[in-house]
Amino acid sequence: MIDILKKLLSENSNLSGWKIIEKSIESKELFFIKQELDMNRTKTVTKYHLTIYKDFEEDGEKYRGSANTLISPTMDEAEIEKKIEDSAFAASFVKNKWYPIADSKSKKISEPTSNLAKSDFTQVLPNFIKAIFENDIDEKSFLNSSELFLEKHSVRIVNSNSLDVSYIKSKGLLELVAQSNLGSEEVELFRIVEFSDTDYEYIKQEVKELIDQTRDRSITESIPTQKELPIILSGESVKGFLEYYITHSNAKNVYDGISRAKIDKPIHEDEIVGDKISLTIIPNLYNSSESAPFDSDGYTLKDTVILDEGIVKNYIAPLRYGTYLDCDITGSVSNFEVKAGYKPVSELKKEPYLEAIAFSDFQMEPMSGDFGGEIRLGIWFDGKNYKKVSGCSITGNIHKSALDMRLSKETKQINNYKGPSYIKLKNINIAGS
Amino acid sequence: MSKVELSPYLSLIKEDLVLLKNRLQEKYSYVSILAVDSRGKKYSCQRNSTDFSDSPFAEKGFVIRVYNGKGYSEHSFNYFNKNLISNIISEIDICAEKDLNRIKDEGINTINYPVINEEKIEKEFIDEVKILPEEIDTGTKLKRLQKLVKSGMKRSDILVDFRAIYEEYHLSKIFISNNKNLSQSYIWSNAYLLGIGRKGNNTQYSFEPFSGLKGAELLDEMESKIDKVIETVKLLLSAEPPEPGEYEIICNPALSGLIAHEAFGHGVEMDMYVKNRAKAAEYMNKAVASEKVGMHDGATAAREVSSYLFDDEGTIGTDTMIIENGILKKGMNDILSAMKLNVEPTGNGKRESFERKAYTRMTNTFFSGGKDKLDDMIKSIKKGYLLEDYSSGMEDPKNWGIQGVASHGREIIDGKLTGKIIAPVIITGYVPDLLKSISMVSEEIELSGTGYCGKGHKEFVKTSTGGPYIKAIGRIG
Repeated sequence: MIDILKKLLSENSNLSGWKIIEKSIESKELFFIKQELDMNRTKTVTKYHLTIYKDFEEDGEKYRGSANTLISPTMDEAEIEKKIEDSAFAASFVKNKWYPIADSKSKKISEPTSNLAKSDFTQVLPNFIKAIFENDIDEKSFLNSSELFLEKHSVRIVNSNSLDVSYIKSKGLLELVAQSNLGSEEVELFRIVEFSDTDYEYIKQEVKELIDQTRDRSITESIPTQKELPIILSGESVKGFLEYYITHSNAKNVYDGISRAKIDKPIHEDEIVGDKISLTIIPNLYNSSESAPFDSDGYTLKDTVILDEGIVKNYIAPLRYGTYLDCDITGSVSNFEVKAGYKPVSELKKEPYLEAIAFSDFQMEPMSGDFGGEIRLGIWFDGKNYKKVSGCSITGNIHKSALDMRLSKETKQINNYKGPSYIKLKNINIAGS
Repeated sequence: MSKVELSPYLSLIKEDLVLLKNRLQEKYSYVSILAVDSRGKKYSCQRNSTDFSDSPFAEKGFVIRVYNGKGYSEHSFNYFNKNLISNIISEIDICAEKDLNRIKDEGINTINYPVINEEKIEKEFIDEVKILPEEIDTGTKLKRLQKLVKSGMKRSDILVDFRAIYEEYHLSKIFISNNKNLSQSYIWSNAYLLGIGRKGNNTQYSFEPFSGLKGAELLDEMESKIDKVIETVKLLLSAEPPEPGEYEIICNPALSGLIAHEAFGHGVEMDMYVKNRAKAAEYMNKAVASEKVGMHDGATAAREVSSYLFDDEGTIGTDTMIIENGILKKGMNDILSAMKLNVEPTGNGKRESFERKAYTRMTNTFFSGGKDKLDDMIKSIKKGYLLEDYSSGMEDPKNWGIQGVASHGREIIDGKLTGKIIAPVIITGYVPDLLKSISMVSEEIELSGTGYCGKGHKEFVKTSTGGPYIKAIGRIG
C-alpha cells in the first residue's frame, strides 16, 4: 500500500510534501470476572495516516497548509486519488506559519528492547494469567474483575524528504478492579497498569498492592473539613500532578500563549522555598508503553533535560513548534523522569498530614493549575494516631502549592513516569466526608 | 431536509460478508458481523493556527463474534475481500479455539453463556439533516470558524486565545447475524467555542458546546454564544474557591446531566450487576430519589448524538425509564448481560470502535422535566449556589459515591444572586442522599452531546447528557 500511496502522491503536482504513517496492530485480549474467563478477543488492523502539505505565500510570508486523512487498506487507487485531491484542496485553506518536515538524516539511536514485542502472544498469555492471579488468594479481599490487553505495534514513517524509518513496539494494559468484604459494606478500588515488557513480577506486585489497599479501604473512617493540613500525594496522582510541568514545557503551548515558560527562566514566577523540579524526557524507558525511537514526524528522539532545578532548559519541541519558537528540537516524547527529592518519606511524614493513596479520579487542570479529587483511600495522621479515611476531597492550585513542595527521596515508575513516589503539598482545602 | 447515504462500500461488501458469516456458521452456532464505515472531519481554528483532519473517531472495519461452545470470542480486522474469507476463518479459529485451549490448559475456567436467541429482524434506518456536510466545502467552513475566532479575540483584552472547533461525523453500520440484517446511517455534529483568558498568574477557560443529529447547520448556532463564553471566562478569573460544606444547590441542565450520567447512570449499567459491582442491584423497585425525580436513558429516548436503530450487538435501541417518581425501575444492558440476568435487552451494547469489546454503555441520559421555575428555585434558597456546567466526573457503581467537578457556582443569599463566583467546585457525596434531597425540578430539558464517556478510564463512546434545573442539597469543596 505504501508504494501505491507514494506513486499517487508523486503524480499529484499540487502538493508541497507528504508524510505517511503505516501502523499495524495485532492484539490479544482477555476479560475475566474473578478468575473465570468471560470473553477473549483478537485484533489485526493496519491503518495509513496520510498528511498532505501545501505551501503558499501571502504578502511575502511563507505558509504551510496541511490536512490529515486516514487511508484504509480496502481503498482502491481511485478512492485514494480522490482522498489526496480533497486533502490538497482542504490544505490550501489551512494557513499556518511555514515549518519543515523531518529529513532523511533521522537515524535510530535506540530501539525498545521489549521481550513482549518479540513474543508469541498465545504462548505468553498463560504467564500473564499466572502473574495476575498469583496474589489473588484471599476470599474476603480479591480481584472482582480484570482485563488484559497485549498489543504489538509495527510502525513505519515515510515522507517526501526520503525519510523511511520503522520500529516495532509492544503495549500492555491491565485493568484491575479489587473488592473487599471485610467491612460493613463491600468496597472496591480500581487501577490501570500499563507496561511494555514481560515483567511478571511487576504485575504481581501491582495486583498485591491494589488488593492490600482495597482491604484497607474496607475499614476507613471519615474526617472533618479542615485547612492547614499538608497533603501527601502517592501513586498515580503524583504523576498527574507533575504532568503540569509537561504541559507548560510543551512548545505548542508556549507558542499558543497557554504557557509563559521561557528558556533559562524559572518555570514558576514566584520564589520556590521547597524542592524545585528537574525533569528529563526519555524516549526509551524500560517497561513504558510510550517508549519509541521516533515521534510521529519521524524525528529521532533522545534524552533531553527540560527543567533543571526549576529552570527551563529546553522546551518539549516537535519540529513544527520548535521551528516557530526557534529553539532546539526535541521531538515529541511521552516518557519523563523527575529527579527525586532529598528527604525520605519518613521525614515528610513526621508532622500531621493527610496522605491520598487512591482517588476516584485525580484531576490536574493544567491551564489554571487547579487540582484535586475525591479520596477513596487515605491515611490521616494527627501527630499521634493514624486513621484510614475515605470520602473526603481536596482542592488546590499549583501556583500556591508548588512554592513549598517536597519530593520524596524514594522513587517509583508508573508506566511513562519515573520519579518521586510521594509529594508533600501545603495550602490545600480539605472537604470532609 | 436531505437524506444521508449508507456507505456505498458497505453496500458493496455486504454480500461477501454474508458469505463469510455462512461459512463460519458451518462451525459456530452463533455468528455476527458488525461492519463499520464511518467518516468524519474535524476543523480547528485558533488565534495563531488552523488544523484540518479526519475525525479521530473515523473508522472502517469489522468485528466478528462467534459462540465458541461455552461463551463468546471476537476478532476485529480492517482488511477484507472475498478472497480472504479462509484467512479470516483461520484467525477466528485461532481466537475461539487455539487461544482458548491454551488458557484452559492452565486450569482457567470459562464462564458459560447460552447461545444468543434472536428473533428475525430486517430493518434499515437512514436519517436526514438540513445541510449535508458535503454541501459546504472545507474552505467555507474553515473561513467561518476563522471569522468566529477573530470576532472573539476582538471582544476582550483578557483573552489569550479564542478557539472554534467543529466536527462532523457520518456513521454507517451494518449488522448481520443468524437472524438479523440491519443497517443504519446518520450524521452527528459537535462544535465548541473555547475562550482562554488571563489575569496576572491566573489562567482560566470556558467553553460552549453545540451538538446534535445535525449536519453543517450546526455552524449557524455558534456566533450567538461568543459573548457568553467570554463573560464566563471573566467570571472564572474573579472566582474564589468555595468554603467546603453542605449547601442548597441548583444544578443547571449540563450539571444535572453529569449527575444523571456519572452518579446514577453508570451505576445501573447491568454488566456491573453481573460482576456484583453495582449497589443498584439491591435497590430495584425501591426509592433512590425524591418522588419528583424521573430519569431516562435510551437510543430512542431523545434525538441526540447517541440515537440509533441498533447498538453494536444488533439489539434494537429503546427508551428505558430508569427512575420513575423516585423509584429505581430498570437498568440498561448489553445482550450478554441481559442473557445472564434473564432480562429484556435494552440496546445499550456499545463499542468505542470496531476494534474494541462491547460493554453496557449509556446513550442519551437525562432527568425528566418537572413543574418548577428557575426564578422560584433561586428565591427559595437562603444560602447556597447555582452551579453551572462541568469539566469532569467519575463513576462509583459499587458505593454510589459522586465525584463531579462543576465549572463554577454563583452564590445565592436570601433568594438572590450576589454576584460572587466560586470555582472550581468539586461535588462529592452519596448518590441517594443527593437524589432524595431534590425538591424542585424545572420544566424545560436541555441535552448536550459534545463529550465522550469512558468506562473507568478507557472505552470512549459518544453519549449525550442533560436534564432540567434541579434543586438539591449537595456537598461541595
